[in-house]
Amino acid sequence: MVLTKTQSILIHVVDDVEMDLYICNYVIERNWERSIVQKFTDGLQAIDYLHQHKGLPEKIPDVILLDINMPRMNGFEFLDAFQNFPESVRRKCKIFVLSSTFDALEIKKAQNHPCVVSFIEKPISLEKLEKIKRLCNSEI
Amino acid sequence: MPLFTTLEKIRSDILDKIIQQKPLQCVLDDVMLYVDSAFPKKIIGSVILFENETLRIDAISAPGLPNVSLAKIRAILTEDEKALWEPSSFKSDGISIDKAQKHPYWMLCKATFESESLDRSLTLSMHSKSNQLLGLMVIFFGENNALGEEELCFFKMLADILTNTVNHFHFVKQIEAHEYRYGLMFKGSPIPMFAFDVETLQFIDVNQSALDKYGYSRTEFLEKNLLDIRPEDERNKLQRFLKKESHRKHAVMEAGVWKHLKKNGELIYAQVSYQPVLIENKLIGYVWINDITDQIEIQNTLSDQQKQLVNILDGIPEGVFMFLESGEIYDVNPAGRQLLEIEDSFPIKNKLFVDFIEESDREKFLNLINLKKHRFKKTIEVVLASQTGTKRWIEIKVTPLHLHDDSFYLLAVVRDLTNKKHNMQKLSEQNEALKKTNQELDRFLYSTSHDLRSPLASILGILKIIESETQEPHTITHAEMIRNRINRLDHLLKDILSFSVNKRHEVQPVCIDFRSLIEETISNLMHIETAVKIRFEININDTTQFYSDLQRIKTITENLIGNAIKHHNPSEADPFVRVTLKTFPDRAVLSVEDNGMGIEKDLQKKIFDMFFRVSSHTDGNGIGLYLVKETAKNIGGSIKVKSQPNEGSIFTVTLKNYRKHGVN
Repeated sequence: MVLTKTQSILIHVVDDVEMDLYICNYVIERNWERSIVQKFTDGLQAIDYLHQHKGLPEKIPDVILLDINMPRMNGFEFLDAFQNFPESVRRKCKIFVLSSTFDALEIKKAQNHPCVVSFIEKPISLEKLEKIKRLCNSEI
Repeated sequence: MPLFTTLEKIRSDILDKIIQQKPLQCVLDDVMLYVDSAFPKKIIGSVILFENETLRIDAISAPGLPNVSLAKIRAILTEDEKALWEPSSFKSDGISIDKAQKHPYWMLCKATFESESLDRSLTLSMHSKSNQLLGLMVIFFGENNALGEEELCFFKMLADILTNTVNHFHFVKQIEAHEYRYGLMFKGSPIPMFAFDVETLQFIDVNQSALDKYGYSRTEFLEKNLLDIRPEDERNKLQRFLKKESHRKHAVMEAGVWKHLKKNGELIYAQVSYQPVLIENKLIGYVWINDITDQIEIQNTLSDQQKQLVNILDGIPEGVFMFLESGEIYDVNPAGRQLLEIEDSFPIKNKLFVDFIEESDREKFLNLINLKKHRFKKTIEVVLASQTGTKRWIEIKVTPLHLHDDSFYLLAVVRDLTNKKHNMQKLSEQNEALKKTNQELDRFLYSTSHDLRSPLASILGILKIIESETQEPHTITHAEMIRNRINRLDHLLKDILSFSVNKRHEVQPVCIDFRSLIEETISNLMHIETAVKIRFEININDTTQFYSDLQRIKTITENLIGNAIKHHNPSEADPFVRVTLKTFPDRAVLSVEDNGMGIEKDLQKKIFDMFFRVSSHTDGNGIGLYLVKETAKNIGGSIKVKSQPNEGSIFTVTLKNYRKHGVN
């Protein structure tokens, strides 16, 4: 699938920290054309959204930036739940784990998860966003 | 002279000669001569004596036939006749008179006497008390001079007198032989023996073995009496013994064990056999000695050891029990009674030990004493309830005890474990608490560093936004200042987390690519502003594959290289950091060298301590080198430092190669 100029890109940011949601939104809006950012404050909210919209391909996000450490449902629990979604959903969502953790085991676990494209260390920056874009394009 | 008077005369002559200790031959010859001359008719008397149980001639007395001698008789015998008279032909039945009369001697006599017209003979046999033929008395007389009744009676009586005489000589001979044998027995015996006068107690004889034993010369010994060879304390006992009548009976008796003194003052234990013998109206005590000093000493040693054992048993804090196979108590030491809280006076024998054990543990004990199942020493721990109900933890160790009389016991050593158990329990509780505290602390460290990092990342995010959007030079400088502080804080958090990870996580060996690892480490450290001035030299020889925990190796390299950068000498024209690495089959040696500030000798030991900082001016948190040391230790390594102030430092880390055998 090739992105056309008219298509917008739906990006979900899942993070319990309001300021991090703000930073992501701020950086993405200014640097990714035609992007639409939707914010979720924990994994459960994001999963509920996917449940509700799994039959509507246009509502399924193209990119999910997923924090690990969150209340109610953390990033890994989200990934486990996400694995049970139909392939149509799974194929469309490119998940990047965006976390401030420097626990090597957690990073490795995130990187090795079959549903994760890459691990990105917080904070997000222009360079990191370019990397995400690049990975999305090569994947898509 | 009447024949009766002749007999009287003969008897007294014989007695005279016996008293004069004349030999038998002489006595017989004189009797025969006297008979020949004194008898009114012409006769010739003759006596022949045989050796015991054979017909060998022992003696011949025929003085009326002066030419007859044993040698002469033997000389005229033919070989056949000699054989006939060999002792073997008369073995069992003794000698009959008929046979004796066929002796060649008689044949010769007869021939001789017939020529002198003494062709008749009267033969009378002589027997010992055991009715053995001793010999014959033969009276030759002429046909015209036949013997009357009275004469026959005379010769019979004469034969009786001679028989008694011969018997007497035989008896004397026997006594002599006995005496000789006794002398040999006494003198030559290896058993120490002496004889003493029972009335005076004076020694009257002693053998060589006794002299050797007591160490006296014969003269010295015979000057002493029975009391002299005793120690003071035994003399009364001896005198009491000698007063008893029983010791005067003529039989060998075992007189028991006595202490005797040797000449050199040494004591011996003598087992005494004693026999009183009446000799010439004197009661002589014969004594045989058996020196049993060695045995007694062994016994004494044994009983000393026994006493020691008893002392030990009384003194030790462990309870020692002897059980019968049934588990009944046979014996117990004081500590054992104390455990059961049973008073010394209270009988304990035959009580079942199992009754003192808590019901839930009884099975254990019964299994223990069933040694058919457990042939070897075994130990159990059970709860004991004493007589008064006090409960204690005890340890019982049971050993089978076979005594030499085939009796069988179980020896049980019982130790009170109550205090130990209490302490152990306390210790394990404390340990558990400590572990928990440690875990909590660790968990706290981990989550705190995590929680601190999250807002730090947010601040950095905003800072990046500011930096990318402002053109204001002051704002850029301020943002830069914030970033430096945040980086420092971030580094500290990373160290704390690494420390926690180092403790918590298992070592996961992977093959380490040192070149890219070190290059990556250096590029990550380039954010330190002075890093650009530094010349990096990397010498890597890792042809031998090296396996270790990647994350921990990273911690080590990052900290060592980071330190080398931070502590460079600003006045140095050519500051460098030289990283050298070589791998071996069993290890890798990594050294990081710089020509920086160096470390004072006396501080070098302290730099690996937690929170130690060389000076307050240096940029560090005091964790880095501690973390390196701990991490290296954690993966089987060690670290050393060599440094000169103002010249530089070399840190050398030796790391264990986790490469499995057979993997190249």
